Amino acid sequence: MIETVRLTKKFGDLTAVDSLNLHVEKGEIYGFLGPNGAGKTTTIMMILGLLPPTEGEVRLFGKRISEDYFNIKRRIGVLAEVQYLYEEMTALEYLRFFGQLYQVENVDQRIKETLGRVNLYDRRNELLKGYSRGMKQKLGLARALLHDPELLLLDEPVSALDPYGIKEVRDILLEENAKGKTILISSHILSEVERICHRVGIMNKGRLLAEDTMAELRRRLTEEVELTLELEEEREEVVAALRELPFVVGVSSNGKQITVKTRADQDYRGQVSATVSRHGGVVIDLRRHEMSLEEAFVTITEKNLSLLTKEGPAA
Amino acid sequence: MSVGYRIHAIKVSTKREIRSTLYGVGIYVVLALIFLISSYVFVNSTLRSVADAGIQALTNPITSPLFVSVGLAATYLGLCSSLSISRDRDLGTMEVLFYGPVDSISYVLGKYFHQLLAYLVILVFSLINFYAISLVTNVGFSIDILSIMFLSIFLTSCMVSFGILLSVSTRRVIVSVVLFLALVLFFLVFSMVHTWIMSIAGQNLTPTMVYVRVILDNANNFIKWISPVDYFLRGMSAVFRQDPGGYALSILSSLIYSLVLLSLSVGMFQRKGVRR
Amino acid sequence: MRFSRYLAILISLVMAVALVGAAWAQEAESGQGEEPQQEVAGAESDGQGAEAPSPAQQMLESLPDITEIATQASQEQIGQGQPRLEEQVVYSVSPWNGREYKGTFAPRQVDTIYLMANEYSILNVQRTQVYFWPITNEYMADWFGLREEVPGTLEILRDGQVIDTLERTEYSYYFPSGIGREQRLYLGEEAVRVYEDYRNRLNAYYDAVSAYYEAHREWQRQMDEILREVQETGQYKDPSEIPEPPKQPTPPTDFAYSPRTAFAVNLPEGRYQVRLRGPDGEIVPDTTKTLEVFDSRRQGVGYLVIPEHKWTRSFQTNDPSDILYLDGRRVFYIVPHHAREFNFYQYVKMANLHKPLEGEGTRSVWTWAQFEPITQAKLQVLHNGEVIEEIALKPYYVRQTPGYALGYNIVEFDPENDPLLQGRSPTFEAYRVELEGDKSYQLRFVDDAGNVLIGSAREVRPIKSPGNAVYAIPLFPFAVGLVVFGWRRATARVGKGEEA
Ligand SMILES: Nc1ncnc2c1ncn2[C@@H]1O[C@H](COP(=O)(O)OP(=O)(O)OP(=O)(O)O)[C@@H](O)[C@H]1O
Ligand SMILES: [Mg+2]
Repeated sequence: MIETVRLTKKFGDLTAVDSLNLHVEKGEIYGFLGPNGAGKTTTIMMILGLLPPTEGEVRLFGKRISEDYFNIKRRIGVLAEVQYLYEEMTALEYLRFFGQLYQVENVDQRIKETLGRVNLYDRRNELLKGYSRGMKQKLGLARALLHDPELLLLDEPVSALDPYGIKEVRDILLEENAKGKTILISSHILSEVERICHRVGIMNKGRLLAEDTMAELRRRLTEEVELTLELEEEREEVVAALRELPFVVGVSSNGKQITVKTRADQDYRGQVSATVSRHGGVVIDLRRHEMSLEEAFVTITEKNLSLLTKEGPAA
Repeated sequence: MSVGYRIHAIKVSTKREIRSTLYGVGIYVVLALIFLISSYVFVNSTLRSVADAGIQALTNPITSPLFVSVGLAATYLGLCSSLSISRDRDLGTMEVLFYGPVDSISYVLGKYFHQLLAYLVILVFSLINFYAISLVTNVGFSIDILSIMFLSIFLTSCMVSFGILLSVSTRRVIVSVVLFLALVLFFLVFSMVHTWIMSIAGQNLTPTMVYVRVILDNANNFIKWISPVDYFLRGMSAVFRQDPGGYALSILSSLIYSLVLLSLSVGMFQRKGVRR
Repeated sequence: MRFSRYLAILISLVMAVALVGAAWAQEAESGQGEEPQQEVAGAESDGQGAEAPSPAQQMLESLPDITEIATQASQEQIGQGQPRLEEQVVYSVSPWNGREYKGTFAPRQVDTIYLMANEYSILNVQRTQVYFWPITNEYMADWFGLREEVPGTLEILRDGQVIDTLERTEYSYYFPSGIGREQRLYLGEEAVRVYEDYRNRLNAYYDAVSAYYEAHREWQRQMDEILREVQETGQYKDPSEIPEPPKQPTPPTDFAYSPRTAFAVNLPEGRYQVRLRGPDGEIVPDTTKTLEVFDSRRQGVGYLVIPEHKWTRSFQTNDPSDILYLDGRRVFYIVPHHAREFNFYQYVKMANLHKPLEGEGTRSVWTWAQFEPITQAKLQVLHNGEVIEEIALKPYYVRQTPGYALGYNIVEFDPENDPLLQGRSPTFEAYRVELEGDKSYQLRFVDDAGNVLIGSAREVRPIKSPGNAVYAIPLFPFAVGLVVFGWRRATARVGKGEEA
């Protein structure tokens, strides 16, 4: 459905998206994860053809968008990160306009259905300038669903919603997916997507760091623990010795600070500390970072990113 | 076919925009102001001068207030178009259209037809206004006035295309607005000065004035191709001469002018992209 | 304008001809004339067959040409020794401008000559002294010092092909009602005939003047006789016995120029070339020029409108789309004439070749030129498409009346019924229009066959002054806006709004 080939976008010196190869298969719900500024929105805009890529190309339904512009656009539903509405219109007028634009049959019936699904039908005759942020986001979703698209691109679709709203949207998406829709959801809150995504891609600084099924991701989260040590002074041999330990998965150091990833089957803090002392190091601080599911589900940040991917945190 | 889709997109977005224009109060207030200004001009130039002279020959005196109101209305719409795209971009509402089946051609043309349609509405009001004025003053309402009104659609077409071009080629709203007003003002003042210099053609001028006139005339030969006002003035003079060829030519050249500016706008727009 | 000044000189010259003639006749008759005049008188009275020209004829034949009048450098200018003095072969041009023949010339430096299409204009190739006068930016010639006709034939070319070759022909300007009014051009034998006819009438007039003084003296003698008789006898004579005084002859009111020779050019619209081929078969240097022959863009009928209440504030309307607006005034006079619309630049250049700056920068301007006056047509007044009145041209006289509010009174010029007008001439001839009520009318001119003259129609509308009520109309869109606003408020709300 979506395929990007070495997709790159540079804003001056900044590479917002770096050689991205993304595959989203038909019928799946793909979670597109990454901390702020990872390049998610930039990627989605390039997929839609609203931002010209610096390099690489995008294929939708197996075609480049320019090959069949209007038909491709008609098969996509988009909910953007920020809702830009015509404030002087009512919800009904707004959806009617998009219904006509996408040539939806039985528009009024369809509007009633979609607006009903996001619980806004009662407020259809209100001007949009009076809508709350969450209402606007729900209306945006209604707009994205209105023409019954095969592919939904949702950029942080629940960022403004309350828990009840989030559940509502989740249900709608599952329902749509059950009807065969392909969905791409971008988010930096794992919990939003965790329960419904078949696959997730994790992005940071423009690069796709990991692409996995949800089950695999969860396994990794529960199998590894991160320890952060602070030594009195920098010592090369300590790092080398830590790498030799059988339960250590990865080590990275930054001067006096050392990050050690261990297996999660037991608490290895004592052994790590002992190893350091053995090689003449003095531990002045030692912390255990267990990426609890809760923590990860609240938000993905640059800091805890390394727990989700095989690589350590980028230097 | 994409042409069909494009036409559909133009139709739907034009419809939405014209509706939002008509639902707003702005256009009515602006129209009332424009008509007030033109009535003031009419009362204080034409009616007063006939009253002073007792008897006077005038060519369609209602054309002077008509010209004022057409000029102001076209400028207003041109200004709206010079605002519209940059505003749409700033508000982000433009982007939403491009998620769906709207491309740069249909977007730009949608803007264009919106303003043109708004002008047709203005024209209906103008017709009522000037017909009423001609009735109460008995200045007469000739076919010529209708011809000029029809012609003014093409003036508006030029102005709007001009505004759109400025809107897509400048980065900031304020720049396109100021640029638009400055250029329109320049064109107006230029053609007024030129018309005035030409109207004293029969008098003995000093050699310096003759050289000024020669320079103005040469400048006019260039400016008449880029100034929307000039196309209209030529058509108007064709109406007074009962010269259908000249009238058609003025319309045709206005259309070509609009087409060229709109193509430039689309090109410019594509180069800049939808997102900032 | 310079030309009108020279025209005045010309008119005074012509009047001088008449006066000198009359004075001479008087002196000749009184017997107090000096010797040479006696001799001339002798020659004149010797008979018409004599070859020696009469003084009238001498005067007529020494009159300068129109171009010479318009472009002759003054003696003081020549005396100042202009550095740009140059002997040149030039085209002197008398173009027809619709009303009269103007005078100009194209020096070597001027490349294009402009003429009106389908009308005769006079072109001549002459050698003269040319001056450039930088202060007024014009070329002038010393025609009195040097005027030499360059012999040859005039070739007219179009697209490089010679399409016509002209020989010089005789031409004469004729003014049927005197200089300053209608002007006609006669060519060839007709020119000679018209001139000779005029000259003969002028001579006959001088003869009549001589005869008049003769008769007057005889009458005076008879009167003296009668007076003496009355004094002697003391008896009054019966009025029937008193002899009638002789009638003073009236001079001819027309005027004809003595014929000269030049090329008479009449071409359809287009761009041509002209050049002079000398008797040796060679093209005379400096005689190849572009000839731009232009036609009018529109034809019509111009009205000179004279309002009764301000008769000196007359105005012109040429455009058929002009509407005559009346505010309270219902009486006006129309003096119509044929009119044609030309490009201002071409029209002005045509008569001002010697002034290179004249008309520059006016190619986009159009102007209506007056052609002959309309005198035979009838003015029709229409109301709702029906002719309600037909008006004929009549002479009118403006009489100053101290008591009257306007200070003057325009009356029909009818000396037979109005003794006050005897011996006077009409102020103008016009069509008098008097309109009734607050109705709109249409005016138009029709010829004898009843055909409407092209471009002669004008609408006449009484204007109403609605005062400030006119400002109510523009508020209509505002009212519509209010309605829309109200409706919008009622159907689409901000914030909470439940609707069934
Ligand atoms: N128009 C632009 N000009 C310059 N830099 C830009 C532009 N748009 C985005 N960027 C930069 O590109 C990077 C990626 O931005 P993007 O909006 O794609 O991130 P994101 O993953 O959507 O973040 P978030 O989760 O906060 O929405 C950021 O560093 C941002 O500053
Ligand atoms: Mg984003």
